[in-house]
Amino acid sequence: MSEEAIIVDRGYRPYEGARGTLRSSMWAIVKDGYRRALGLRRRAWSKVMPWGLIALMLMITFVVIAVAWFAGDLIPDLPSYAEYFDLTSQLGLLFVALTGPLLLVPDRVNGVLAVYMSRPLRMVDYLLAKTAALVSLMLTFYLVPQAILHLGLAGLSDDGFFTYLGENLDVLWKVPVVALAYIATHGSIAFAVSAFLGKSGLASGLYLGFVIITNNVAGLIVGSANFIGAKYAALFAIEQHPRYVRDWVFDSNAGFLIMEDAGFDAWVSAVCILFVVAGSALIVWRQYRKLP
Amino acid sequence: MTTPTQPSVVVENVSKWFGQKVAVSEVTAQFGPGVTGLLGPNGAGKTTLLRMITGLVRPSEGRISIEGIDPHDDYRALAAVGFVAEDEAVYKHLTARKFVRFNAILAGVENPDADTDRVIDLVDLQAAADRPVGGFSKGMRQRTKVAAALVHKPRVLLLDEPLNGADPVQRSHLIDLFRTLGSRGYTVIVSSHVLHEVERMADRIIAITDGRMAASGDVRSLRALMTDIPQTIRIDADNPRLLAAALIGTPYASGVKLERDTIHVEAADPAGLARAIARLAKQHDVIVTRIQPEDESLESVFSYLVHRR
Repeated sequence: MSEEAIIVDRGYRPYEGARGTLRSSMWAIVKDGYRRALGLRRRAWSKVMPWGLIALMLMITFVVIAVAWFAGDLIPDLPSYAEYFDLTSQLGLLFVALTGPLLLVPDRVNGVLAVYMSRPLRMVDYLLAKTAALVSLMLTFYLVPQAILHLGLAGLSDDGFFTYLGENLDVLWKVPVVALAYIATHGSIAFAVSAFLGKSGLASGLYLGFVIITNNVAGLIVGSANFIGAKYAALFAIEQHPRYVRDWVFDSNAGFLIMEDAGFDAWVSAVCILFVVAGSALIVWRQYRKLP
Repeated sequence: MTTPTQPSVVVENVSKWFGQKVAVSEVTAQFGPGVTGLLGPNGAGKTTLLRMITGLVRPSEGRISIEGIDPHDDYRALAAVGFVAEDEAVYKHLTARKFVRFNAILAGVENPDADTDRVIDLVDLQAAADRPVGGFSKGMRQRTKVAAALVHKPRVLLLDEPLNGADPVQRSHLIDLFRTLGSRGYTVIVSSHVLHEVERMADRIIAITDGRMAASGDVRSLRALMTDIPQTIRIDADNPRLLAAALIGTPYASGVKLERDTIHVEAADPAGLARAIARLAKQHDVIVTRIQPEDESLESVFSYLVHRR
């Protein structure tokens, strides 16, 4: 037989076998989101930023545990779970700024939305899968270090490991709730900005600029303006809302907050977060329903 | 699944407008097994029509169904569809194999690895399958897209300018592939503005100009319908001058041109002309070696269709 002779596909037949469900298609999108956000199966430079931020996050955790271990007696006021969010939320902000645009922008720029939408998949499924990818990544980003911190502090506790865990059961719901408040606020805005821009880097920069500028302008107006209603500018200090919710949940006061300074209760921040999420979802949906 | 005699894709009185611009206007067509060429100049509305069939664009008016299901009402209809978009529509950082495999997983096939290997072979992309698509030529990207569209073995294949950028060997390979799929009973709809490619691929054409359907059918039938345009017939004979002179005297030839040893006759009634040629050749003892219609090509038919508008 000649070696060149080859029949590659004799008797093509349509696929009649078992098919994956909508859930499996969405899971494929979620997994693709993980790879993209973490730079997996990509060049080394794609991994630098996400893994650098993860390393910094873990480093902070291990530093806190190390300080508690070696100098816990000398430094009695180690960061609490609430304060730990203050230490790490800026890293979280950077991680969202990196991840949000990466999840949405390349699909539009590469024209791949047509590939997704010509499958048995609706735009809402696609967007939900992207949201699931972002939320699960961010939850892992926030919760894994907190879990290590929790177990580390339990291990170092004079009362014993299990006694410490038993006495701090509330942490098990408080930390995830606060993490979700951060993720909802930061993630939804990152998606809203990314829905309009054609470059991931530009979307990241604009997102960070938006968060920083709204915070500073709101702080300036609330702190120095005398006109009636100036205090309502605090509502636009978007980055501060999850912090206020954090203080509310942990019943703590981890630092100066514009909303508090303006005289608002913490529940107003919780409502603001819901508005930000709903508004962002509406913006993204209006933009994507016209595509591809 | 529909039986082979039923149309797989039905387009009923479909229109689409974007603001003031009418992209597709009142198109009605049925697509069944075999290859149908969607033909028209750039901007004619071919892409919009294909995107409406795939559910990517909702018609402003009218109805579309795939195997009896409107993809806009029930997106599961798209399980039977493979689509090659005109745009790049690939992840440049992924290798061809990974991109095709990703499509297999999205489509929910049982064995994505085996199906990926199968279609990579089918489009003859084995040698480059593990290289990033970003480094591919346009033709190789097209083949990657075709592989991705075929990976779940669709019953309906929609191809928007699939041969763009492919070199002649690749074009020939892809055309053979589409013809093979068509001959096996699959509904293949190929849009193109390159007439000779459509002619090679399609059993039937649907011509679109300015968003409206200009014609539908096989090329020869369409040409036969254009009775107001005389057909040009080429005749080769051993004594063309004598035969040409004889033809001028008949009512069947509205124009006769002699070019070296070849006669070009314009005939409003080609059947009558054929009978006259036989009679005159015998009468004048002329040996006719060839009689061939000259404007039954898709190019001629299409130019008539477009210029008539």
